[in-house]
Amino acid sequence: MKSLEERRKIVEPMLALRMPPKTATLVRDSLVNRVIEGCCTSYEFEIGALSYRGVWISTIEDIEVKVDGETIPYSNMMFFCNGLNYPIPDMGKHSECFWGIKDRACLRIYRPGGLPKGTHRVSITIYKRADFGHSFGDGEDGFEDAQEFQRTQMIKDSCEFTVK
Amino acid sequence: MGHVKHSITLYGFGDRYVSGAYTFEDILVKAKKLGGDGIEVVAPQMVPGHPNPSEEWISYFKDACENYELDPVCYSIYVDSGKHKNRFLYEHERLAESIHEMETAKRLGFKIVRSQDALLPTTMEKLLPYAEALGIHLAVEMHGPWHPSAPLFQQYLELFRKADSPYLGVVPDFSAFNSCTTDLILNSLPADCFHKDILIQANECLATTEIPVDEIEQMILNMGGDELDIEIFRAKLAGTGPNAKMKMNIWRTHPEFDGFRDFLKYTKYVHGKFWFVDENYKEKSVMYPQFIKIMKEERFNGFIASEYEGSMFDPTISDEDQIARHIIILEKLWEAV
Repeated sequence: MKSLEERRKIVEPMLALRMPPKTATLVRDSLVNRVIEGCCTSYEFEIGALSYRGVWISTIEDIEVKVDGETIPYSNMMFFCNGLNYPIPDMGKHSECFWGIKDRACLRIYRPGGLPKGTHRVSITIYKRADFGHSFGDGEDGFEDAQEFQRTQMIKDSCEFTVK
Repeated sequence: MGHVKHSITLYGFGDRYVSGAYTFEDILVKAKKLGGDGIEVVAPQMVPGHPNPSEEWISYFKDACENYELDPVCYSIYVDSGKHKNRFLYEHERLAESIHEMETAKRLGFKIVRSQDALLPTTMEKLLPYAEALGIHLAVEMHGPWHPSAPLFQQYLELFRKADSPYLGVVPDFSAFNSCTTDLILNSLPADCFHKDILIQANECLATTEIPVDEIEQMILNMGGDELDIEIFRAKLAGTGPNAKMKMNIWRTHPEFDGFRDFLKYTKYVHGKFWFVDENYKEKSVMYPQFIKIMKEERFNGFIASEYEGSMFDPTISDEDQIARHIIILEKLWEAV
C-alpha cells in the first residue's frame, strides 16, 4: 500500500466530489467544422447529459470554454438545444427549455475558417445550480436558508478532438 | 405473483439508459421479463419532450404497455425549486405545473403521481379537486433526509387526516429509514488506498448496533486502519465530517417504525429503495423484515416498487440480477412474516 500522504492525495479530492455526470460532458469525437455553402465560420461539439434526469437550462449559470489554452469569449459562443439557440449569459432567463438526457445539445464556437486540421485540446467548466432538492419555501420566502440552490456545482471536462 | 404487488421503477435502469447501453424499449422488455405487476416512470428522465410529450410518443407508450402487458402505475414528477435563480417556485407555479403533469400522467394511463416534499401541504390540498377529477392518487414522496416525525411531514400527515381522501397520500421511500449507507459507496474509491474490509465491518456496526461512532472509529484503528480510513468512514459511511453526504440520516437500529405505520394508512405505493441484495437475499442498508411485517400487519395492499440505486455506486453490477433478487426478497419476507 502507498504511503498515507500519497493515498490522501488521491482520496481526499474524491471525498469532496459530488455525484459526477453519468456521461462525458464533452462528447468524444463530436467536434466538427460547420460548412455552409462552402464557407466555414464556426465549429461545434456536443455536450453530454449533465444529470440522470435532464436539466432546465435556466439552472446553468455560466459556461467557460478554452480551446488550445485560449478562453472563448461569450461573443463567439452559442448554446443550442431543442432547435433553439441561447447566448451563454442569457441561459438563466430561459426557464422554458428543458434539456432532456436524449436531447442533442451543443456549443457552437464562431471562428472564420473553423479549427485547422489536427488535434485540439478543449476544456469546459459548467457552473450549475441543482434543479431540485429538499429545501422548501414559496418564492423568496425562506430562500436565504436554501444553501443547496445557492451553491453552484462545477462540472469540468477536458479532451482532445481531432479535425480531419 | 404472490400476495404483494410489485412495481419496477424504470429509474433502476437509468444509468445504462443515460449512457446509451439500453434503449427505452430494452428497458420495457427487461421490466416484463422480471415480472413486475406494474411500472414507474420518472417523467423528466424517460419521457421524450418532457414536460410536453408528443401525441406520437403517448400513443407509442400506451401501445407498448399493452403489448408487453405492463401496467403503468406510478408517474414520478418533480418540484424543481432550483429552476429560477434566487427563489423557490411560487405557489401558482407549483400548482399549474403539477396539474399539467397530472394531466400528462392521465393521458399516459398512470393511476398514481408521485411528487416531492417541496410541493408543500397547502399547495397539495389545492390539488385535491384536480386529483379527484382525474382519478389520480397524488402522493408526496417521503425521501431522506425527511422522516415521519419531521415537522414538514407532520403537516402532510395532518392534511391526509383532514382530507381523508383516496386521492391524496404519501410514497414512503426507504431512504427515509435506512440503517446505514450502502457498502457499494466504497467501490468508488481506489481499493489500494484504504482498508475496505475494515470499513465494511465498521459499517456493519453502524447498521446493527448502537455502539457510539467514536468507539467504532477506535475499532477501525484497533483493526489496523489509519487516519485516512477514519476520514472515509466519516465522509462516506457515518455521515459526519466536512465531506459527509449532504443531510442524509443514518438511522442505525432505530428507524421510525411507528411513523412509517402512521403514514402507511395513506400509502398506495412504497419505494422499495435498495442498493445491493446479497446472495443470501439480504439488503444491509434497510431493515426489510421489520418494514414488511408492519405492511402486512396494516394490511397494505398497494404496490412496492423495486427501486434499484446501486448502479450509482458500482456500474459493474447487473441491474437485472439485483431487481430479480429484490423481488424474491420481498416475496420471501411477505410469506415469512
